[in-house]
Amino acid sequence: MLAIKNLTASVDGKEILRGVALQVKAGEVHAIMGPNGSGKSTLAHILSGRDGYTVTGGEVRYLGEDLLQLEVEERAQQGVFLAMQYPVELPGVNNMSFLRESINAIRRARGEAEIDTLSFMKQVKEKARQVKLDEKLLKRSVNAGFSGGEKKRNEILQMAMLEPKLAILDETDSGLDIDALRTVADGVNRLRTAERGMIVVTHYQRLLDYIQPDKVHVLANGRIVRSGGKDLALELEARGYGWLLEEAAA
Amino acid sequence: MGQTNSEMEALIAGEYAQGFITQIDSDTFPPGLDEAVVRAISERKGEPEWMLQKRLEAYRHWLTMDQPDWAAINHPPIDFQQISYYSSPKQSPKLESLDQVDPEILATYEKLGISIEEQKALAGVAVDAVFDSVSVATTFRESLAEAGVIFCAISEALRDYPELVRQYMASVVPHKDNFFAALNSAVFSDGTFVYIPKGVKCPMELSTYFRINEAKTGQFERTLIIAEAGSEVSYLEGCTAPMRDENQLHAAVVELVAMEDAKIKYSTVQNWYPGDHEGKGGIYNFVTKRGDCRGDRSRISWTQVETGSAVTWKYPSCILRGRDSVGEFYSVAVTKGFQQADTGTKMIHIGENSRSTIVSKGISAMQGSNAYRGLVRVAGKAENARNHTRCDSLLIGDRCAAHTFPYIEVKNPTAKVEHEATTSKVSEDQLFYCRQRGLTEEDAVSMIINGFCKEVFQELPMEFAVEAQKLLAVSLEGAVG
Amino acid sequence: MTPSLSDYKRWTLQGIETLPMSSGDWMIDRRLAALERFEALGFPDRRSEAWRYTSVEGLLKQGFVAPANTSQSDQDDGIRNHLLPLATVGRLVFIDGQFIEAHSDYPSGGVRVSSLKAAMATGDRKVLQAVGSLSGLGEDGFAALNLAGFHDGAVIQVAQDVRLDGPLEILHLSSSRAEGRKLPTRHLILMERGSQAELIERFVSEDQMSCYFNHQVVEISLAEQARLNHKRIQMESRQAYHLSDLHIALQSKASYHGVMAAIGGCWSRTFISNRFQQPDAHCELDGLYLVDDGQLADFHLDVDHQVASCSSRENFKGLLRGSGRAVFDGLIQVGKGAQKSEAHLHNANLMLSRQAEVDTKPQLMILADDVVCSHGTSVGQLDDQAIFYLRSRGLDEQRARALLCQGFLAEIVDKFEHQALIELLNRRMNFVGSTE
Repeated sequence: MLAIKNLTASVDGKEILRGVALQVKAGEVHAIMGPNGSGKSTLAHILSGRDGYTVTGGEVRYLGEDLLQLEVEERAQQGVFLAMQYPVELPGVNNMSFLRESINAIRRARGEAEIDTLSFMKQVKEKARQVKLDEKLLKRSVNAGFSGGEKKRNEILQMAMLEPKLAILDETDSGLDIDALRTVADGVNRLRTAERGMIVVTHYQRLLDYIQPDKVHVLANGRIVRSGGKDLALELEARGYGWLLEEAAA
Repeated sequence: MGQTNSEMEALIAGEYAQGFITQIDSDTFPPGLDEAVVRAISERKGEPEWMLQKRLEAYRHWLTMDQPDWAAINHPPIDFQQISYYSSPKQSPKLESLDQVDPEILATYEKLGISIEEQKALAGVAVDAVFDSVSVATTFRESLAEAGVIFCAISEALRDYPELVRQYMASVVPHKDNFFAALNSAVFSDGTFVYIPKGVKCPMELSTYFRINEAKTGQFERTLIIAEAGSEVSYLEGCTAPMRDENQLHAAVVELVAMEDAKIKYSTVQNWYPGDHEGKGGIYNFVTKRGDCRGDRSRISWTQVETGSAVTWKYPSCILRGRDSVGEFYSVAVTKGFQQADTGTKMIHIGENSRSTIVSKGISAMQGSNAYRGLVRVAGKAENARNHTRCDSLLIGDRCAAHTFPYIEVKNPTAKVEHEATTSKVSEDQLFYCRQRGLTEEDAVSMIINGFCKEVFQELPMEFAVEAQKLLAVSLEGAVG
Repeated sequence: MTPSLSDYKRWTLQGIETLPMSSGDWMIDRRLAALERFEALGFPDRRSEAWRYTSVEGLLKQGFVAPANTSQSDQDDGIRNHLLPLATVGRLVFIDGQFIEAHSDYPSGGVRVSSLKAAMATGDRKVLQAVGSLSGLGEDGFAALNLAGFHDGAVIQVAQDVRLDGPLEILHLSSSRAEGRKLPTRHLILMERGSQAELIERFVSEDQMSCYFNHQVVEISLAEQARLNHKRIQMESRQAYHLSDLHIALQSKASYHGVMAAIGGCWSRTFISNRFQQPDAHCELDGLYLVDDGQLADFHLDVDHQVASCSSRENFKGLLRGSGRAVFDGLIQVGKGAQKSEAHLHNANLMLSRQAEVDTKPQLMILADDVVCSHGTSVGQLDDQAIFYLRSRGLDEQRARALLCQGFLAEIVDKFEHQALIELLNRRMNFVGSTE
């Protein structure tokens, strides 16, 4: 579903990714771990099409297409979803209307009919309950004044509603207490299907206690320095990143 | 980031859709202003002698005044001798029915989306259409008359209800009030008169649609709304003008009087021609609007959506004389291209327990300049006066300007006055977030701006709220890249 | 009768004649040029936006003349009554606008201190030329008049990377000899690269009924990474007039923190102009004012962000009693291209009396888009519920009000840091919860 080949990228002339390769098949969950500043978030942002990054080489193919050629919203319309580390506040924009606008934009792009109000309402309420998002928050402005945990739940709610093909979760665990973490992870697990690929970007292993990855990759200094199964995450938890960095440097 | 700015500007630099010119015969005075012109306007209107004397008094006072220069606006000096002070479509002066309105004019209003043919009109909205200097049509007069409501052109009111007009006109905005009010008091040509008798809730929304058509003419309308004790009225005005290279002057005066327990809601969607992309042409909009909450528990609410004009200078105000009276001001002002707006309100608290609310949303894009200027004054006797002011500015692009100039004067120790202001921009993060959820950049900008303006839009009557949103959307038309 | 402009001109010229003049003709020429500027501008009136709420009529009617030349005495001069335990590293004492060496302690190591009068006597051109470089001739007649007629002042230079161990103090004492006189002083404070200092300025009076006019201009220049914490407490006589203009210029990564209190005087105005000259500088201004019967306190801020990435924060709070009047005018400007500016201004007022009046005018002028700016003001009174709460816990109403007033100003008072200053302020403000 997603094939990244030798991807290099820079920010303000500074090279951040130095040749990343990654293959994600439908139904797989990949964890990308790594120390701060290793380029994890950069990779997530480049995949979703955020400004401010210059791709200097390599390619990204998504469902056979050149992903990097697509506009941000075109990627979203084709099923790429980014759950952000710091979800943005939109004052005055109603949370529920925003969600509906998004769904309809994506549906229109796929040539589908717009969602009818009744089934939309039903779905939102049900899914909000699943991620334990207070229904009142649906009526407020998008993320405005939400707590950190509420924002993350709102992200997972959006993901559940938009039903992406490829979901990228950028540090979704940051700033969450254990209950919130469990709720968010449950939400993610509920969305694991044979058709959906997922990339979970995280600094800590603890999220992976709840979301069992198929593969774990360690990104350091802009490269994937080690790939393995979920045991790799446990090893990192026990030994830290230092030994890997040394190995990579050696 | 620079690129995104210019994309956003392209979104915002929509074309002016109401800029066409109507070809009709008109009776237009040659440019210039002197006592003879003032006399001629009064004569054309068949006014009583006292009205002429008032006009002359105002004119003579105007000659002693200077144009104010304190606002955050810049424009070449206005040559008042280059303006024509009267223009009227040629047709029989008194219309027996709407069928006699020049079909070209009817077509003009149709094109603007305002139907003055009753059967086609929006249900529940009566319209007074002012074309250049005269009122050309007023709809639903009979059904209003049944309720005792007077809704007519002010020139007709001067003929039919001279005592009412004489009693109230200039009682809220005296001719000495300011330079443009003095000018208007001398040369006003038409406008709307509304009288709601005691205890009557006006059965429908009243609205005036202003259209400047003739070149080199100024429009000086005068509106007077009187709400007797316990009455209620909601009044809407809309404004457009053709695209012309020269600047045109609009200097209106609006006076509202609310007696005991009366409620007046006054909404404006102002979309005068703003000038072209180089800042050429456009309307100079210098307006004095003031409401007098004369009676206890009276309430006056101003809502404005200002998207047009090259220069806007207007401060719809409330004099809160009555006990427990309430003044409200909700405003959205958009300046793009080379538009400049210096707008806000004055809330003068005189009565006990008087309360006021101010919500101002300024949006500046491209080289637009937007200033909020407001005064909240609590007089010594205004026990327990309350004011809350919220002023937000949204900036789009790095060449625009947003200013906030609140004046707060408190002479009573029981007053509570709060003012908050913020400045922000449509952030890259917000746009990215919306687009990542599948929205186009255009929809994202429009959604963020509508969200920013929400508190004001929800104060507009339903029909106008839709129009205002559409107007913003039209401004945003023109698609990315 | 109110004196005319030419009276003021004459008095100024008479004052200049008494000054040491070895600084040469150019100095006299400059004073005369300033005097000419003063004549052209005249005194401001209420038609001028900056003076909309503050009348100078009362001040001008007094017809304050140039100061007498105080002899350098070694008497006590009442100074001792005003000294505080502040652990200062140096103290400069001015009596009636004149530097008194006998009462002053010079700081040691890394700081150069002198008086302007001494600079005039020795003809120290370098110092004298720096005078007026930040303030210019000003937009109202007062600044020009000060430049034409200043008599004395302090020059403080903190050398590169020097960090003072304790505060420097400048004490301004007005004696009974100041009655009817204008005391025009100027200070020049130069903080060199990386230096750090704390400066405490106090204005006190021997006689609480004496009427004089303290007219001061302060120019403060902060080089790269320099930091100055500047505390000012104005406790003039209740009949005195006080006008201060502070001009602060900051270079890259410099930081200025001003903490102001205006308590005395029948008429006092402080104008603070803050100019960021290079990016990444920071300015904080905190202030409190307390006015009672017959007093006016006026604060004017002009915080000008013309370069990118600077931040400022302003917080002023006032308490109004009796027929006290307060004026607050806070302008934040962000110029074209000054992206990433951050500025937040707040002004809050407590009105405790029927005759009091407050006029407040926060302003934002923004010409760049990537900025975070806000201002807020409020005018209100003590919260009845809070008073009730305190009374229900056994306090009488007066005490309850006093405590709440003190609480209202506490966040500013605390910024004076030194216990001696905090106590002084709390004592002088005498938080009696008087209303009505």
